[in-house]
Amino acid sequence: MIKTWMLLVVVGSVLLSSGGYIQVKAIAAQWMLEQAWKNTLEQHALSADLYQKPWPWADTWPVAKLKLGDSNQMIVLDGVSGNALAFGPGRMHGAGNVEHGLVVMAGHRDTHFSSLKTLVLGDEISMQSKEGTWTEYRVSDISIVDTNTHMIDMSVGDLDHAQLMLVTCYPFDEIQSGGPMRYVVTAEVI
Amino acid sequence: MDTVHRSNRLIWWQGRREDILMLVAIFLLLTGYSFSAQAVEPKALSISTTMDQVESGRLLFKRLLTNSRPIKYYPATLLSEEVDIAVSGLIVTARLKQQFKNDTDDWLEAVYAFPLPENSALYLMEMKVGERVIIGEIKEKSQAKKIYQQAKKVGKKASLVEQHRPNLFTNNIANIPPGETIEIILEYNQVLDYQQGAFELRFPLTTTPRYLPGQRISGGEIAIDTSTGWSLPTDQVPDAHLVSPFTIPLNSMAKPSHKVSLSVEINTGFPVLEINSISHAVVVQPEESPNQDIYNISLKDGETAMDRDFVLSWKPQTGVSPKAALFSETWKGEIYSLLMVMPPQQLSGDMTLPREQVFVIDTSGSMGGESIRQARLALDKALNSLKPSDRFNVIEFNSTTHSLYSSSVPANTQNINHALNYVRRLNANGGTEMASALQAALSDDVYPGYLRQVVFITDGSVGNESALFKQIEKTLAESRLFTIGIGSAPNSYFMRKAAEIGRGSFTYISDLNEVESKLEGLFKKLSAPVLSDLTFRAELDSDNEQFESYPLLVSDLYLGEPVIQVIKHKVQMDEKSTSVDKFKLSANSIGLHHSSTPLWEQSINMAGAKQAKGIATFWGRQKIESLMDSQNLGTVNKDQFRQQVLDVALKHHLVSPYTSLVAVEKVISRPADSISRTDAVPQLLPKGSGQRMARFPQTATSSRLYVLLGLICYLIGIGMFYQHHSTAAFRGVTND
Repeated sequence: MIKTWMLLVVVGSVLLSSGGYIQVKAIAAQWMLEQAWKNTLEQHALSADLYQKPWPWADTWPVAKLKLGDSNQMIVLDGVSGNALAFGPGRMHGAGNVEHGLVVMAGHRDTHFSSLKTLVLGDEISMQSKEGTWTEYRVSDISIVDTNTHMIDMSVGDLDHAQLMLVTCYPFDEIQSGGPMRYVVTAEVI
Repeated sequence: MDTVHRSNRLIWWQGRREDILMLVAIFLLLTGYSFSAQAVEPKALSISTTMDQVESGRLLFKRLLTNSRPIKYYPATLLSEEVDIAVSGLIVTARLKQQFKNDTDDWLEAVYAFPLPENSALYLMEMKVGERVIIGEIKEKSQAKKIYQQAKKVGKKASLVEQHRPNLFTNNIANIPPGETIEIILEYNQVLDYQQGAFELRFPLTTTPRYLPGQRISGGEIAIDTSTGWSLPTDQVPDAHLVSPFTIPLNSMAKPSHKVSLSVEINTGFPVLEINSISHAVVVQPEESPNQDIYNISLKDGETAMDRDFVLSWKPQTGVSPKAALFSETWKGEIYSLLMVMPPQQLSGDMTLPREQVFVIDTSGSMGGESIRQARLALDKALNSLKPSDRFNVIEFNSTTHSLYSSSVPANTQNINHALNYVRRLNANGGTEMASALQAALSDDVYPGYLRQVVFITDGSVGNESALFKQIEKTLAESRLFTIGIGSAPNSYFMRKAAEIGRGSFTYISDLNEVESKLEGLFKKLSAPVLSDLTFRAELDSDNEQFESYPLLVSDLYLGEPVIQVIKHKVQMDEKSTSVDKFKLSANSIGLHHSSTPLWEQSINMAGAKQAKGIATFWGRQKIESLMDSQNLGTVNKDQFRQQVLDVALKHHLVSPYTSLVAVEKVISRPADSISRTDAVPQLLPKGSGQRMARFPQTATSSRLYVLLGLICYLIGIGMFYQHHSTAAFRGVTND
């Protein structure tokens, strides 16, 4: 009897801390990334091809800064692999040219991109490139898509306006991960 | 002065950063974040990359959704398919019935681009109109087209089946009356795939959109009917409009179309196990028969949407794995045989061949991002799989080629660690100058007593395939070339052929997440002892006999990989149809051991051949492929080659790059005053990831689930603690 409750408390603590760790890591990493981003912007003047790794063994690095609304800022990482998304939203790999294309960024619904649900049509989003310039977008479409039937076409785009697409999991309050639905916010350059 | 000051400040910043990093490292370590000591590279603070541009993409679903409401596609032609596949011995014969129903009030011409397996020999087409069946004839391609166009013009029902790629065909059906259905029956055969002790049958039902490189060709002199595809012809792919069928997502299809029913009969002649499909739910029914082991497989749901390939696999029961098999067919006075030989499954340990593995990694700009990361992971895995007795080298290429060592070095811990560090620092940048890398990997002499295996990791984004094939053939000598395709749009045609010419194999990694699992199989195969110096010869019955076998190159035999040869042998017409010919497959080298006399030999007597159908057709198909290869290698005269392909195709009734099947009804159906329009029948959008198509990333963690479960456990635990204490106290009282 004694062993059962102890075990439950221990298991509970482990689960709590691993759940909490994901959240803590997401917050702590952004602070580290902020430093790396500052260095990236600074070093850009020296060499256009330099990126700053946030910590020595990182396999990703900051590529942009994203501002949702007035206050919510975050550093966007290279790639959308699980280990990148743990630290910040990621920019999807593809090909093409930002002037005529669409930038795709994905983030976890329970950490960095939880704030996507508060966005409404017409809201402003800004993105800073490593050149330091800010691009302003306005939310033009919000859709919920099923990943079983939809994919993203990564071929070189020929859109009239450059677009920014933010992807996160849906529904927001779903407790389990791995569902097929995605919440997709599309914003057009102003 | 200013720059000096600036760099000083940078160094100071980096020093500060080191301190912060260490603090965080300790924090992460304490909380269980794991990393290997080797992974820490304090000097690699910055990384150069060509991806300085913010990358872009385009949303496919944007075209299909307006305000979250899917646009419905109303097909003019309703397509349904019935597929019956019979597996007999090693030969797969498939009979497809494609039904095209005109769902409009107009007369229609349907144009349908459809996939077939890459090595399939398409030899029969029948057009069924009501109860009448018109049998298709094989004709030279332009002649067939002319016959079809003429029939279409005058209003006769007609059908034309053409090949555009070894695995992509089109079917044109002219003058389908309003509301009526025309059925086209097609039949092809192929040899069953047998690898690592398992059979696999794949029937494609849709195609992933092809990556079509090159510049668009503007109309110019030639009028091109561009209504059949989403791409216009390009300078590199002049028939792009024919090989780019429109794709429609399943849920946008407004009417019941693109349905298929499938059945498979397996009769391999021995009991089999584990018949299952990774793609579809199937029902397996063994047939009650006294002598044979026959199994019937059908779809559980009866029919399914044509949005993914059908894959069926099975294994021979333990103890009955085929070691050699010979099937024979007499056709037009000639004997055709299909031979399969398995290498011995067990070889003693000392026969393991020490390898000189040369890893060539493509670090061109197109490999940037996820591809290079996965390629590094693959190399990491490969380096760790080396045995101390092996030798290795690593070559990196983009616009220039760089070798880690000037020649291969022993795979000791020190060298491997050095290489691992080198690999971790590789970045994608620059052009794809593959020729110099191939030269570096293949040109110098093989280290004595070693088998050189060149493992080429690339996305194959090259346009000069023909030149590279020639180079591989010229410089290969004793080396073997294994290609690994990585990336979202690898040139798989190039890599498959390069590996074939290089006497190795091609591993295609379609999904970047499966790098690890796919490569495991390859490296296992590469590390096993291999039979080399293979010769295939015949001891013919009489002197005036001849034989012709394909494929021309007998590659090395790896564990679990069979050798397949298809042979035509001429016998005198007046002789008995049974032959006493003998075929011998022998290897003069096993692992380390070389000899002038065969170390391993398998002799197959023709008298033991089982009768089977379709071998002559398959031989024709293999001969055409062999001819196409020699044309790619530039070893034949173009006109001569075309005539040779034509001869084989016409004789064996095969659809080929130069021949098509055409069927025309005798009577005129469409009244002269009504017109006909053309409908390009789309394919369903494939259910998985495709070339240039990206899956949505996984965007949730289980943190909340953990927290919730943790809280529940915690609360129950605490609850039990209190309950325990109160009951303990109570028990204490009663016990006293």
